Amino acid sequence: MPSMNFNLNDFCNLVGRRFSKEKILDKLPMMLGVEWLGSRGDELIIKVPTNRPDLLSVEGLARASRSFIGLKKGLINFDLAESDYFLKISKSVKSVRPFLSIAVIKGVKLTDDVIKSLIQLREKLQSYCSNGIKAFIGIHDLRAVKFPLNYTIVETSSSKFIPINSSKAIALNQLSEQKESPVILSADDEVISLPGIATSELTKLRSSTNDLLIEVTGTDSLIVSKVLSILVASLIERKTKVYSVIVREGKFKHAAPDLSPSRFKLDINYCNKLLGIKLSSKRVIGLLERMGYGIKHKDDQLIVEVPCYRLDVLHPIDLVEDLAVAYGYAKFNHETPLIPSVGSELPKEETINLIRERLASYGYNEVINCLLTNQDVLFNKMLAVETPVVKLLNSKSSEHNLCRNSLTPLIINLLSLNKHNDYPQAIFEVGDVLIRRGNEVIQDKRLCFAKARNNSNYTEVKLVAENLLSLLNVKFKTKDFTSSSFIKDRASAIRFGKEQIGFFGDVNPEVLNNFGIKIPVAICEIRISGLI
Amino acid sequence: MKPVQPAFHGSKHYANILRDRLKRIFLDMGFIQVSSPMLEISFWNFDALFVPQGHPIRDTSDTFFVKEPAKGLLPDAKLVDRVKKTHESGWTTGSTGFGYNWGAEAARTNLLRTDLTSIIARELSNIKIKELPLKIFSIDYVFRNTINNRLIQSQSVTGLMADEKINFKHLLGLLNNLFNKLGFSETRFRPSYFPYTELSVKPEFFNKSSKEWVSLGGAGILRPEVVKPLTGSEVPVLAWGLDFERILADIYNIKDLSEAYSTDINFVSSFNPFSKRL
Repeated sequence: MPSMNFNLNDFCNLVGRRFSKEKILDKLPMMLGVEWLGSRGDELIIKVPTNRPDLLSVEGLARASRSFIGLKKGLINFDLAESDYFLKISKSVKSVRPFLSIAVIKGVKLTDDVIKSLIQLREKLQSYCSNGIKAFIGIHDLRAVKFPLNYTIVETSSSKFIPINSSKAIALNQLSEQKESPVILSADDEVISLPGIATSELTKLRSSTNDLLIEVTGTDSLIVSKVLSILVASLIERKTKVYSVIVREGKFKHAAPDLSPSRFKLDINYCNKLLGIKLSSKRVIGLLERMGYGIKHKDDQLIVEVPCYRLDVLHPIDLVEDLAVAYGYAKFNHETPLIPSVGSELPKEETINLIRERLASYGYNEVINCLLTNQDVLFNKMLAVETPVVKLLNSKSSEHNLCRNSLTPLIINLLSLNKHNDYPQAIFEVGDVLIRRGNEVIQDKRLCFAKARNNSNYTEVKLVAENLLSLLNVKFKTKDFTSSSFIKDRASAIRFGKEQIGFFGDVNPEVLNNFGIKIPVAICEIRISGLI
Repeated sequence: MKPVQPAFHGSKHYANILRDRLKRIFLDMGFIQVSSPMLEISFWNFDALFVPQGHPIRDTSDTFFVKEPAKGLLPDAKLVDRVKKTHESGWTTGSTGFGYNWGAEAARTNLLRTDLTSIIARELSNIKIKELPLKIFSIDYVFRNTINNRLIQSQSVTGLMADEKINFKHLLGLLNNLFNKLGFSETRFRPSYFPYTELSVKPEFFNKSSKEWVSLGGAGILRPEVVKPLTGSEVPVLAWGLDFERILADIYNIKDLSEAYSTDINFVSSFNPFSKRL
């Protein structure tokens, strides 16, 4: 979830009512699902749910709060003034970055609060849009923009521009790896925006800026239009005026931006059934208006108008949730569902539990290792031949880039982390390993137990293994087991029918040395998946 | 917590003692325990749960992707097609969908499950509406690719209840019963967001020593865009995924969550299992 900083005073001014910090701290999480991260004086920090990018600015948060507390309910109508600003979209952008939305905002007072909020909103929205891939935002000083504009493709080797906050013009191919790149050109053929990378120094905002041009380009048409709506709706909170831009695409002309609401049908009975309450249509309408929706209705059927800046409303169910939030989660009675059924645990759990109890009764302590490990623990230190394992692609830690296919190395590793503790040490684990056969992966349940003490432990481990297997009614045989991880002639394979189901033995001192353990260890691992 | 007695006595792991307790609570309430693979395809972990491909939540989930074997097999083609259509245009769920081209190849990507919600998707795809109610739970490991103080391997307590007669109040009632049994005296339910639930709820408890509300995980009613492609119907499904380690830390008084699974044998065997909350 992205974070958002805002100033308490600025927030109160925008809402039109004073609140104490404590009051906001108490109320906001219950009405908008945001979370507190902290505060520094009047500077508050919240986490905003991923589905509500419209709350990534103090203006958006204030708008939602104002209607929630009932100061100004219902849908906000955005007045869009006509203009003759003009932009052409060339065919050539279709295959690269086809979508664009644009608006002109006039009468902006760029105070510190406004600038901070606008920069924050642009940054957060852009990271929300996969760092500008789905949508890139350019904000320009309208005075420096010469219309008509052209959204087109240029060769990056033959085009130049001065990127924002620098003083030298450079070729576009110094910024872009592509041979051709979409750009927005002004009437005098200056590049004012290189989408996905930077805007131009020529059109950057200055303290004297009053009017803005905002353009959003990207690969996802819905996101492009919603991102622009969120920006425009935020700036409107600062008492500004929005002007349209005429956009021509081939033969077609339209006025951007589209700030009209979308519409959903909502059945009151559907709401009441899911929520388990009985609200009248009048009450439902009142509650939905507090969430910023516009309502038209006929009996129990509502037509709900969803404001253009909301991108999380996909289905009537999203309106039901907002209805419940406005009603207040705390007001719902808690009802125990009286739906009789017979419970049952996984078929093997009971036996696994008996095995764990038995090992604890032998004086073994249960441990839990991580499924993830590395080449060094699994093979190198064990002097073992490498076998196929599940390998991870993007682990942030080189300690954890393989999935274990045996418990034994991890149990020995855990003993090596307990050298400071008294001996004898007896531990066991019941856990899953991943066995890889080509592209197939089998999840296998294993039992592993080990004893570390001053003399050989072979006999004890053998006795415990034999005792457990006979309790499980497994007709097993033991055979000689050759493995470089164990002392020669002091290891046995456990066989059941034709299959090897486990092994036990005294661990090779060289292996123990690799793990830094200076005391003899005997260990046993049994595949229990097939036995119980 | 003071050591009961160092070494020599055998013991079950304190985390597994809590796991057993949670299991008993769900069995008492008539739930069936289920399991699913740790190595999962994106389809069950994300796509079937209506998380769009390329959605920020997929990046922020700290997913461990698998290099070898990199791809797995998709389930039944009809199911895959329903999920595809739901993502693209809402299919017959009444949703608008996300309006992008859903790719089958990306859904085959192998990963370590980031949540047990993959179990919910798998189980729903198997039920027959005539066999309702469905009440299942699972307590098992999930994996997050992180180097911060979070655990890379943690446990989730997940479950669902599907029946024609249930509603939001039952979800709150069920969670409330569960938290009462675990000895949480002061809890609250807050609005929240998860891609697969709507209504979404964040259950929290009041930690008396830190004087803070602490999250216990997430819950909600599954979205129609999740339920209908998987089951063919729009039955209400209550679902939850609780953070096992938060419960563990509160019961055993563990201050640092990253210490929830200690590797110190003396520490592990020193916990007192004779707690009223276990």
